[in-house]
Amino acid sequence: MSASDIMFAISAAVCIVSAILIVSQKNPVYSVVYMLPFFLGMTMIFVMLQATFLAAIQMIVYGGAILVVFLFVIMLINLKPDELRDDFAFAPYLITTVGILLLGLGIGLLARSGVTPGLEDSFKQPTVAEIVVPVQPGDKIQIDGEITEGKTEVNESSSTGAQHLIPKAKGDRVVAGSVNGSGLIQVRIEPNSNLPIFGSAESLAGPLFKQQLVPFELASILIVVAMLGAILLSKKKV
Amino acid sequence: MVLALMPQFNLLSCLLVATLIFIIGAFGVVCRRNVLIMLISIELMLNAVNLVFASFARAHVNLANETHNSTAGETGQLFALFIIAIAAAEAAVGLAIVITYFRNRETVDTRDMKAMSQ
Repeated sequence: MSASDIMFAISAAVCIVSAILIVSQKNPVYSVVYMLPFFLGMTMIFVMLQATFLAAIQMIVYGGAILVVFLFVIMLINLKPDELRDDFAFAPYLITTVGILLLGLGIGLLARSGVTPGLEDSFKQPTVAEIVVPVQPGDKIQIDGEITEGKTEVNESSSTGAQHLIPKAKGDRVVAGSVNGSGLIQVRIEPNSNLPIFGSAESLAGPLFKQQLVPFELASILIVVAMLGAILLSKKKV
Repeated sequence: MVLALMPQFNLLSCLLVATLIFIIGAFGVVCRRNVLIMLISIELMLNAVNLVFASFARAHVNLANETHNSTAGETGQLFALFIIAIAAAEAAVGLAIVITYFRNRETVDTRDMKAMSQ
């Protein structure tokens, strides 16, 4: 039971409980209020999935915009309490039950077959791979890094000009070009800092504005059309 | 016993949470008769789909070399971004229709919306 398991359990529980509360409220105002913990839990799961930019957009668009628009509309149409009759329709229960069973069957088949081999293992690996290389005594260190194992002394004359040997132990940094002394060490190479972090705005910008440029432009047209449609629909007839 | 029921943070449990939220949303659309709550339930279903996209994106990051697609993870997150944009447009149009309907008929109950079936 790791910390991420507990965090996931909490946010998943918040999401599911508030989703049930959203659907079961009689008054839509309370439904909208329960949307806030739902979106917060969802944002938490997105952050844990390393979709940080998506989490920020989720909170801004859903928690900030859609929620407020729903609240405004409910206030605007001013429902009287006696108009809110008990509105659960029990006839569609059968359809919903069949749907739940079908979805469960689909999930079970997915879990059994596994679409891509190694998907579950890949989910658990960190997104930045750690590379550790051994450096033999007397060898030159090729790339900057940090010692994870072993004890030695290095000659850093190529970078600092110091002729004497500098003792290095676990946790110390070594620079490229220095010569290893007498001990065998394991050096962890630092990830390439030019590569953007997975899930950041930087890593999404490339695919969004290159491969997905046409869908992006179509989405902007769709939003303009939807905005005009909403204005025309809700405008008072003059 | 309680510890065994605690979900592990893995792909399957993410998909299970998404399925549960989708089912709750589908239940809201099918079984409720208030148009506003039906619209909110559609938002729940779209969020569940976003969660599936984000989970599979996370799972495909380290498979980029095997699948010969260096942006396999980012593409999944971009799909979720497009879904958020379209959900915003859908909410705007849906709520405009609700406002117009309420102004003319003074109701948000789908049992009263039978002008086209008569």
